[in-house]
Amino acid sequence: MDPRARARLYTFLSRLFVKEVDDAFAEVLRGEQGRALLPAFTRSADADALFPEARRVATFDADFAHVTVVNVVPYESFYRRDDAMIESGGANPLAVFLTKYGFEAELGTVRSLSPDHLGIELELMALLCAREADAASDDEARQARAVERELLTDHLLAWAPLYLLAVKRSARTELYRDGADAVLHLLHQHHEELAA
Amino acid sequence: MTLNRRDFIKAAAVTGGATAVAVGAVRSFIPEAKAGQPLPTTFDKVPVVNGNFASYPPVEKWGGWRELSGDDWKRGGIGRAEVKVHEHVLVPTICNNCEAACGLTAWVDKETLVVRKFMGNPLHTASLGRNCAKGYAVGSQMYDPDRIPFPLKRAPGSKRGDGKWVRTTWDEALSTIGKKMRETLQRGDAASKKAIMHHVGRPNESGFTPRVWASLGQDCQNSHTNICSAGARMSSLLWVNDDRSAPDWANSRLIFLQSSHAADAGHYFQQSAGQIAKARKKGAKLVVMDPRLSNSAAIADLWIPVWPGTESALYLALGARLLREKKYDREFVREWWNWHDLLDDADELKLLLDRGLIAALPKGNTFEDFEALLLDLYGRYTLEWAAEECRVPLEKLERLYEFVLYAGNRISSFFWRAAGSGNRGGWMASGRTGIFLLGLTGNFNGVGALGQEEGRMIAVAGKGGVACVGEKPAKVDAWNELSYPPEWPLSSYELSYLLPHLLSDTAWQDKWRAKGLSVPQKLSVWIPRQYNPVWINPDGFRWIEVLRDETKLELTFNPSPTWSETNWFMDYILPVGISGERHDQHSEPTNTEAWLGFRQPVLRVALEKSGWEPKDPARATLEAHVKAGLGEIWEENELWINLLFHHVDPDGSLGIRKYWESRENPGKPVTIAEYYNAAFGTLPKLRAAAAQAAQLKAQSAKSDVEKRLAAFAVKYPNYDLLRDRGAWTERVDVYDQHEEELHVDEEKQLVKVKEPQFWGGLVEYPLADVKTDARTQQLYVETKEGRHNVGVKRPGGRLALGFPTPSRKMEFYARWFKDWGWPEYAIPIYPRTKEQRDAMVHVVTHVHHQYMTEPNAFALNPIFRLPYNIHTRSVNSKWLMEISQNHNPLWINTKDAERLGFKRGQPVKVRVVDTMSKLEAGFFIAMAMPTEGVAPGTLACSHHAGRWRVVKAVPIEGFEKPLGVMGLGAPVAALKEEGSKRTLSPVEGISKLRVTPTKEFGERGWPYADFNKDLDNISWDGLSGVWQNAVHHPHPDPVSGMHCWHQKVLLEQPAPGEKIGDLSVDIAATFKTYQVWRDELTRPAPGPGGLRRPEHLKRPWVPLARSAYKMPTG
Repeated sequence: MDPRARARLYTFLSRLFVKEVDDAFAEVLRGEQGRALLPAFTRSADADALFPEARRVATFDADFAHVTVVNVVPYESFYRRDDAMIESGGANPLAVFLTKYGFEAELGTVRSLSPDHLGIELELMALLCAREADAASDDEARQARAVERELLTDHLLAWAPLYLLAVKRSARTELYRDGADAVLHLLHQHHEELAA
Repeated sequence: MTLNRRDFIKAAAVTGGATAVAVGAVRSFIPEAKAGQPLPTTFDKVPVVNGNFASYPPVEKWGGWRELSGDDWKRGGIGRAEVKVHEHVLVPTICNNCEAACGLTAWVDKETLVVRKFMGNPLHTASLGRNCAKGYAVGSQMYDPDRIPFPLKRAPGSKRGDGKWVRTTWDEALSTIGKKMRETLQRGDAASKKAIMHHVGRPNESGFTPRVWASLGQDCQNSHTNICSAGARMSSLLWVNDDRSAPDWANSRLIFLQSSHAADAGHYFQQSAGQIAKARKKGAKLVVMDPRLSNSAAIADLWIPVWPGTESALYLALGARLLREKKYDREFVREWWNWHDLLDDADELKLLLDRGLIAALPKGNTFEDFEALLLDLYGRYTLEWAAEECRVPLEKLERLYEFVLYAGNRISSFFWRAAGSGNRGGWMASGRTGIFLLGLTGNFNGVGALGQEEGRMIAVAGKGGVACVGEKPAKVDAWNELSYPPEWPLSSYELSYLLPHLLSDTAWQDKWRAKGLSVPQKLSVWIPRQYNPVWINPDGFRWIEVLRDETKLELTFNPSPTWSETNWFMDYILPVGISGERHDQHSEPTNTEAWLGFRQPVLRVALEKSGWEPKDPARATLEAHVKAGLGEIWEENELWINLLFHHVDPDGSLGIRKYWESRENPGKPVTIAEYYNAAFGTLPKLRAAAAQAAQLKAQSAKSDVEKRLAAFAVKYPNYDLLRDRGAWTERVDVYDQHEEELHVDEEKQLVKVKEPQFWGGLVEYPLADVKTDARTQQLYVETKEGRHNVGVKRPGGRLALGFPTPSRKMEFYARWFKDWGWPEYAIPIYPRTKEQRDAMVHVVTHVHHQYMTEPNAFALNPIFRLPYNIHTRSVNSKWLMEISQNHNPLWINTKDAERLGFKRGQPVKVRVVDTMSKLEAGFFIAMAMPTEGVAPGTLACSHHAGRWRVVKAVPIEGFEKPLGVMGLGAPVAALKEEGSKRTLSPVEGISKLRVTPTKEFGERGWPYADFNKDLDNISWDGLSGVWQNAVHHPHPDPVSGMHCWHQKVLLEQPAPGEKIGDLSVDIAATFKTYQVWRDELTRPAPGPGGLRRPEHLKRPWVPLARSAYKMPTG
């Protein structure tokens, strides 16, 4: 897959899991990308609830809270620590990665407890894929892919499938079920490409 | 239906434009083009260990660790030019704020020689790189704007307390003090051996200072212990002849705390709390017994708000139920208690019978007979009775009993302050009855249990003598009655808080002088080392009286880092260093290891590691501090060495100089490196590791400086290792110390054991002379002085050391207690009835509920600590002051407050009365805080606040600015006196400060104005506290000598004009109370053999000759 297309996919799916659907994103979901990537959702009755805002909030915001705050936990450290606690301090596994490569997470923007939130990890991957796409040489592109591989194998694949399967099982709307499925496809595809 | 992956890839091709929805959760903080590539850094990256950031840089990088300035690097991004990178050298040291000796690292900026922060030391295996607020606040003490920057001397012609000070030099101060000490010592008579007194606050070191005073031949050591923990220490002495108990919290199943002390406020709490949390994670229960709902109690499985001082009832009742239900550890008791000593003592058994404490004498002398006796003794101590005596609901005690059964032989506790320090007979209410319960359940020295201090501490600071011409000073033949008065022959420590009373009490002096004792009537030199007795002791105005009297205290000086109430009345204030500015070897039994910490002057070490060398190696710390701009701050180790070597005994004629003369450089004083290299070299594992480390340094040295440092390391490897690490662990898993092997020399067929006397040495006996007592399994030798128990024979014939008691067993029955006149208290006991309480008044708290006869009478608990303050030395730490204001209100139960009409924040008049003398000391005005968190009928008001000063600043001629006096922690107060009445009233609170640097002490200027630029933001006024200690009656416990801190008080509404912080005291009344407690309760020496004190009993710190124990007869 073209790295720029991969970057767009990561961005789109990051947005889905990082905060609730707002007007702008509802338009995207109703548009071409939504229809292409989330067909089950698009064809379901849930898609009718994207507008007006009141209906959207009633339908999707509660499910968003259900799959990212209340009942299913979208943080890497929750899955990787023996005591299943969210690491919000300096020992957070993604914080190490971010610092190493010169990034920082804007936790306030996405109301996240720690930088290892699925939405943040997906957006970070989008940035890395964009870097690959912009590479001035093969060497630079290779280097960029090495960093992508580190993020994918050391972080996302180590925990996100567990989370996404849980979302698929427990989401109350087709939006998040379908979205979880799409992320799984993307991670799988990306992993195969990097391994090739 | 959802997509399969093939469809998904196809769909991806049409997702153009989706980047518009990115929310910006991630951004690069370096130039865009470089993000996503490993950073070429100008700073050192924190290493990742097991997927987590390490808490500290790797030790091999401590010599140069680059870190971004914390000011605004996140906003600026590290690529921006203005982001500063600091290169640090990390120098390990040990916190000096409390006694726990947690590790610290000072992060010294290599460029500016400023300590940018203090963090923990990950190499310290007890504190594990963690600290409490006081540890991190060391920086604010180091750069305190009101530090004393040079030695101060009372202005010639002024009187003590006038507040007129002049700047002096260290040389002048040492010369004057040394001359006075020399003249005193030259007299050479009995009085001269007790005419100099060193009165230590918290020693926080393990043996250096005792060697100082031993080398002077003085019985001059006095300590603060009898206002601290002497009561509980008495109980450890009774059971196992150990100074303090050492719990294995981390492996316990029941953490049974007497007060909040261990877990959230007091002794060792930072280290203990981590271990307690670890145990709780594994399923341990936490029970807190405390009339106050402390932080620990609030998170405990069970809070038991006992009436203060009735803890004995609870311990004995729990033990009694174990006995009745036969659920105690029978084998442990049979093997390790000295039950046989009681059964063999017909007089003691008869006394118990005559007093109605048992119903019948034992039928025989077997262990089974002892078990029957236990049931007879304690069978009537029921939980129902204990609930009534302790005033707690019965169901709480039932639940506690279940926890005890659940925990079995993994119960840990700690007896330190709380009951032991608050109450008459506190030694009984703490460990004497507490260890009865723990002993019954087999909880001693095992995994998860309470244990001995012995083996879990390393005290080698007094063992550097090999580096000196004179190795070991002789034992001292003198007895100072001002520290160990004849009335308290068993006191666990010195009667330190009574020093001004004893110096004032000429009738008392005359009485004993008439009997042939050379009781001192004055002191030629008094040295309150980092100690502030005026403020922290009871009856502080009595201290002021004596401090002002130049006929009683001829010369006084305080080696002290800060101003204090006491310093105001000194002749000299000599500014010595705090946590990162001094050398001390310091070890504490905070876990089941034997570890030591090395406190160091971090600026000196940083300078030395950069290649700096002092002009005078024996004054290196002072020179380093001046060079680094800290001021003329010295340290005690070098101070004492220089004072004794150059000024007290400059020609060696007094025989003192040789103990501080370098063996390596004869004619010169010993250096820190020489001395501590020898001291640390007494530890075999340390020595081996040090030799290896020095060799590695030598092999890897490249630059000239590195080569010079490596040569130093090869020469002083033990010192160098500790200079690099700051901490060392010599032993781990120290358990079952009583099971350790007796030292037998198989070749020579000799047994080597310690003599029975506390200050005894080692003695050898032929193995053939060691006999075994068939009934008790005690190993003993018949000597001309009687039977010397040397150990215990264990199953299989193994020869074990046993406990360091006279019987080598845990002493349920302390025969020596009976021999010294206290037979009714020689076993763990507590009266069950009013009649018994009246007869056994020595173990009944003076604030027992039976004494609360008036409707407004309460038992006041003043001694709980605040976790962010240390008694006096934290007064001017801006960070600690900011978080500790308004934290000593008067806790009063809501129902009591409602009944008496007190509302939150309002003033309450607290009248202090004594239940023995029936006298009223006076009153103080506190701030009411009605709460459910304190037991009805009791009050709590921590005595850690209420500091005062009489002026804001002191002008010093020749120095460009006045010296501020405790400007961040103490309001200005007015003191008045009229006859025997003394009053204090706050007149002005704390206000904002503006700190400007001086031209003296380096380019940066003193006192580091940049660090204190936020002092225009002070939000506290300090006016909610009160100096309640001044109104406290002195209550010397007749046995332990502990000041029994709790007070009976009467509450009432203040009179018009009386405000929070006001106090009034009649020092004639408090003086009379001291006399009443002394005369009506004590049982004076001499004891058996005409001795002043049992010879086996601990008597720190100066080694005494046996002849000193003999009490003269008139």
